[in-house]
Amino acid sequence: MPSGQSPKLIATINFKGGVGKTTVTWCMADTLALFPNQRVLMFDLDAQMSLTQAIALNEDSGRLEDRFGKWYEIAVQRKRTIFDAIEAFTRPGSTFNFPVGFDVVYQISDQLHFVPSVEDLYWLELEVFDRDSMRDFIRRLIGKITNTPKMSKYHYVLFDCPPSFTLLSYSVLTCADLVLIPVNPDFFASRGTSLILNSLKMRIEPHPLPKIGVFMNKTKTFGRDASTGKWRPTNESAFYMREVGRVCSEASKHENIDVRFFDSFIRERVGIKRAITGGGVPADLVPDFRALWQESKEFLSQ
Amino acid sequence: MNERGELPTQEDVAALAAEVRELKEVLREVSGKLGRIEKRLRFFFPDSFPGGSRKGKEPDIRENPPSITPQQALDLYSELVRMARSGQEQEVEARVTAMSLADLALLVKELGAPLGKKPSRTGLTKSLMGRLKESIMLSRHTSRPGPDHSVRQGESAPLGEDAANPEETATDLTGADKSPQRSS
Repeated sequence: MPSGQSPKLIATINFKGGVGKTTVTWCMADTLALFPNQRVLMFDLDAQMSLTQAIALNEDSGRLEDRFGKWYEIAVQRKRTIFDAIEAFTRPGSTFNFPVGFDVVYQISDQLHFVPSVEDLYWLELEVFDRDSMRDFIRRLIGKITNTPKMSKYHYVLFDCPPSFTLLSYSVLTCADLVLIPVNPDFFASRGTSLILNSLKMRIEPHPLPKIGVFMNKTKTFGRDASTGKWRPTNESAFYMREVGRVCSEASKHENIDVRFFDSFIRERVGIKRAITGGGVPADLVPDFRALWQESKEFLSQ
Repeated sequence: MNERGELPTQEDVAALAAEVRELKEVLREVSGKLGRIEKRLRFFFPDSFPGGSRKGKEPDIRENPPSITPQQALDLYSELVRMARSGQEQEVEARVTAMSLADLALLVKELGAPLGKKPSRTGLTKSLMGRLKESIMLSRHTSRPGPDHSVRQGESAPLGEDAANPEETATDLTGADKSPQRSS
């Protein structure tokens, strides 16, 4: 990253559980980290810790050595977790005294780093009453990471958000450059798009809404188009893609939200469930995530 | 209960069930014989069976190709959604009723709803109406005004604010011995 330039902050969010937020965040981070000289930082902000636990299972050392587990244990013991950072940030009458280093940020690989979640985040809402006191937390934390000389200069920071509007989601959304909303080709998973698009704006006002990219995840397909070579969604998947696309274009038109429904989609594959624990994006899905990233990048640069 | 007000015994119930089975068998046999007689009569005197005439029955969709293209079907669907959303339910129903079975089947297929082995007008209409309801509900939401807050725009700290405090950002990257203690 050129010096002085802030990393792009990308949050994956959907209030519906099970749409693939965690897997998408991991696969996007993994895809980005495969590009030469790109450094990616990934945050697990969900108290369910799915991403954190998957990272623990991910280490493909061929041995039982638990590098991440040991690191994580020390981080928790020494109060070097994201929850401790929040405590330091919201402590009344004090400056944000929480130095960051690789005791807070775990190095999965040279290009992909990770800030894990902790179960304490479940109780965050009870302990922090004032949402405005949390608003700048992520912005300030990223500022610290960016400006700490010995830390990596990240190009992208990805956030796996919980399936609800928490204080941490609020903090992320007030500073994110792009919000990715994965939806699935079924009624219940598509239903939340309208809710997010139309209520998010008023919830984070007066902050401007970040750019929002909505895309279909777990798309059912049936072969490739003979002329374009692209995968063809089934009629049912295509129905939900059109409907969600329609919701996005209406939100864009009537609510003045900078939202786009992406043409690219992620296909439904059983193997993707093992993407995090198995070490990476399944080979046949790499083009899907690259296409999704290409569209996201173009949207970000506009 | 019998004439004496007693509950039937297990033997009584078993005898009744056997009688019911026997009667059903007789009726099935009679029905089969009647069906065969009707079939022969219908063959020789088709006009003598007003209720059983094939006239007015829906043509088989496999023999009648649709008169619209898949794209036209989807355009028609968008129009139906628009009409339904503006409260023109009766007009929507009239449009669907006026469609041929083959066109209706094509539209339902394009919407990804199941057609079933033997698509009927009732079944297809039900599938189409289900999709219409989904389309309406997917774009419907109930918003409540957000909580009142006094945050002003532009009040947020810039991303690099903490750069101004190098002491605060410095950290021991090799270990956490110097990490701050949690305040009680």
